[in-house]
Amino acid sequence: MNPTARDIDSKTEWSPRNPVHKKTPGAVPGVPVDLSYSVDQNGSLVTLPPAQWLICFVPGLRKQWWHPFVNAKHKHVFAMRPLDTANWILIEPWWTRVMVTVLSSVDAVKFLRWGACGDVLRVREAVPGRGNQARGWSNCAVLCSFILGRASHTWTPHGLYRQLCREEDVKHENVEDLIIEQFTSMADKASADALRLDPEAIAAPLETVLTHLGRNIVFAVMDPSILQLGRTAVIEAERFPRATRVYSERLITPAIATLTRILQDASARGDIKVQSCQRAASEFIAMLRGNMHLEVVMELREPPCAAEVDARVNAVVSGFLRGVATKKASGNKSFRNSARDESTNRNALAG
Amino acid sequence: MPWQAKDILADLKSSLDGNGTLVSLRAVDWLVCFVPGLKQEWWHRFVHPTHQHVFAMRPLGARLWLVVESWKNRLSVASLDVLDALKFMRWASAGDVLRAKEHLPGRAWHTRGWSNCAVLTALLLGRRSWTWTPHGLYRRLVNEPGVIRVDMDALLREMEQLSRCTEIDTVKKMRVKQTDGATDGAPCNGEEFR
Repeated sequence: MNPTARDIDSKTEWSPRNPVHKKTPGAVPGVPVDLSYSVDQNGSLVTLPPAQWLICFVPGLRKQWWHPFVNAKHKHVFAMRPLDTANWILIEPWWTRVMVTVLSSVDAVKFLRWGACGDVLRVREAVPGRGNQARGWSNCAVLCSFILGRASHTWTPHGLYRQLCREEDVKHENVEDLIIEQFTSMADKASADALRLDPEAIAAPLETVLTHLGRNIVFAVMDPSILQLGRTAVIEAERFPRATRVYSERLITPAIATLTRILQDASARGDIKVQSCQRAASEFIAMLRGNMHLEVVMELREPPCAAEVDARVNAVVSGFLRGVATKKASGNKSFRNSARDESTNRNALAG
Repeated sequence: MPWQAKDILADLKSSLDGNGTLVSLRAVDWLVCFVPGLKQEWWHRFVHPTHQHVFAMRPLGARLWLVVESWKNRLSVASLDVLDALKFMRWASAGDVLRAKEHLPGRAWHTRGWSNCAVLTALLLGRRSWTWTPHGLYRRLVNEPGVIRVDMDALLREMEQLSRCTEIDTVKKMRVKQTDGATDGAPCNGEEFR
């Protein structure tokens, strides 16, 4: 045997000159590597908390031949849930498609009213789920169970209803409470944003404070989501009066309360003289809204632009202060208006 | 005044539209994204290399995107902010993206046996389809008049720019690649998709 002979290590000595790129386990050619690595344990690109859906089991709106064979109240099922804004996601399986759409609160209330004719359950979706794709017939009940990630063997809405009712976390919902919940969250947010006052702003002259607040209030009531809320409140006033009351109590009342406090302080300083600060605050807000708000609510015109809002607020504030300011305060620079300003303000109010 | 369910039903029935729905909505455009899988699966060798999965997404206007994606064990319908939507778009740029308008009232079929991502996307779009594969749906859609191939690189650039902007509700432009390879400008904002 040749003394120089030795065992060859095939792994090291027979390896090619250019090392082969080691295949990254799990990575797929063509997909950005960072995306492949950023999938979560469920294989998803984004990790979202499981959403809560309102599953509405409802009677049919049109008669169908098969209706006698299913539960009287649970002939159809659809799912919906509110988004952060004034919109709702709706998933409704039709005969020939599955409708996935985003509805305004006004349209969502129609579906909630339909839900009120049957049963509404609040169900948390299961992630990653235990649903089964091979169900044969993907009707409304099957698709809703798949949305919820539930393993289910039923083909009827009532079967799904009974299955969900057996779960511990599933809650029955009252439709009016749902509408109130939606109204409250929207109104509270708008109100908090509009009525936020820094200590520096409160210390400013009354005219500046009123202008600042007035501007915020007009922008809040002209916000598209708040306008829709107002329309819904009017439409559903008869059926869901508690929900309509929320609109007034959560949106208008806090604004009046904040303004009342500001006017009381001004009155204590001797800047203004009014019989009732609360009534004056209420009238100030009524002046801000005026016909313009009604016209926008009724879609007779577009919401005002920023310049139009500024002109209106300036006009209202100067008009209001002319009516309530004491002689002492009127002598101050902040309360004076030139004749030209008054003419401009009158035009702004008329517009 | 207490209301009765039958009164509400009668009221609702009177407000049904021609398609039998409570609200009449216009057909919207979806971005239908045919993509390779993010993780290797044993069955990937039997399907098209870049069309192994399909999902649909569309903008909702105010910084939000709606993404409908069929998982193995559930149907995910989620609203995503711009940054998260950007991840899905980057994934989509690895495959092909078609912009297709959903069909109202639809011609799809419930009894397809296996409701996988391709079948559920066809159901979302209201399309009658006999295929069970994403690539089959792609071939079905790409031959339809009105369906356009989206240049995702251009859209990604727009989105990356938008994700840095504070005001997203400005009018945007999406470059749309025509079948002959030419590019054409088409408006792309939330309103346009609604």
